[in-house]
Amino acid sequence: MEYGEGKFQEGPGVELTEKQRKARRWRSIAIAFGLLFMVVAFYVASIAKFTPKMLEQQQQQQEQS
Amino acid sequence: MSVVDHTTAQVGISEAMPLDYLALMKPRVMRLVVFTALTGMLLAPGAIDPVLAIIAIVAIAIGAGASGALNMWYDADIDAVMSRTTNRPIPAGAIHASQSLNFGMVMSVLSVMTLGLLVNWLSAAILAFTIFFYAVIYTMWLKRSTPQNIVIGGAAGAFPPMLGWACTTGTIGWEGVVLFAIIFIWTPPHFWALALWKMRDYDDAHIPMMPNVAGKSSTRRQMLAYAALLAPLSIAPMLMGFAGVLTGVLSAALGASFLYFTFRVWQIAGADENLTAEKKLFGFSIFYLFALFALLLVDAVTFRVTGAYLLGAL
Repeated sequence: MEYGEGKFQEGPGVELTEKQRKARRWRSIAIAFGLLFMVVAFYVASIAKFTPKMLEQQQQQQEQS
Repeated sequence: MSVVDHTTAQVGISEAMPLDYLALMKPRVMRLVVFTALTGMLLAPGAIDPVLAIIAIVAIAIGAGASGALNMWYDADIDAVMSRTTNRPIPAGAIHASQSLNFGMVMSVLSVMTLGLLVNWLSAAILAFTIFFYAVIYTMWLKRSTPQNIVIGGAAGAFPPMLGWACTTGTIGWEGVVLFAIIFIWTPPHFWALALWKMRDYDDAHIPMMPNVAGKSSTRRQMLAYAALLAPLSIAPMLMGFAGVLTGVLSAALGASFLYFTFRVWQIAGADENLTAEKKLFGFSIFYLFALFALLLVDAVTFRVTGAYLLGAL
């Protein structure tokens, strides 16, 4: 059987047990929270890192003008 | 090309829960790492944005946890033999060793990159080196090959305060080196106290711990030497001016107590079959490190708030 013939779709496939399904759901939730934390952390840290420098630049521009 | 022919998921599908992955990260070790890194971060001169400080601490905690996962992946065989470690997720069958390896690698990269991009690259480099040192130098090389394993490997546990210092200052100061030295010198008597009453475990796992290789009396002598070194080191922060007099006096008492407990281990020399002195030293060693860094942390916060140390400085 060659890959790409579409025959892999036949048959019942892998059926997860209840315990495996539950574990997978909890792992997915944990990964989702992990990713959310990363996004929020990078967003907030970017603001914390760049805001003082931007304000400083703005002040310098105002003083020059 | 073969096709997977099983229709029920009895084999190869993970049943690991998020808490199993958390256990892989050695939460107790993570707590100590966070605590010592935070102390180093706040003792260091200069300001660090609170948001960046929190992110740095989380990244350091995850990096430490990643090295724990890599350690559990490599040590799964000996963890299964030793009573202290049989309940870890891999020997208990909750997680496959390869999952631990993947998890450890991903978390290592994420923590180092986060620290580098958001804090500074010196601290990221130290974190990367710490993970490498613990996972490769200690776990893969030293642990199974020399009785000096935890002496040299102890450096991995000693880096966090230096790491915290680097997060704030972007440099490695002598003060950071002193904090490193305190944990580095503390590690051998702490671990060997445990090794003395877990000798059979280490024998079964073929790990060449000092008591198993050099003998109990030699180990006790060496522990006493390290404790004698640790006592003056305990007051070095006060002498170098980055801790106050009150912290210095209490640290001296802690160092002297540590020396006393170790002296008792040497003096009794195993005459007590229950090894009570060793167990007391092990318990006190944990208290010593916690109390010393708590004092330094309180001093650092006091200095940042009031501009002076408790009872002043030398």
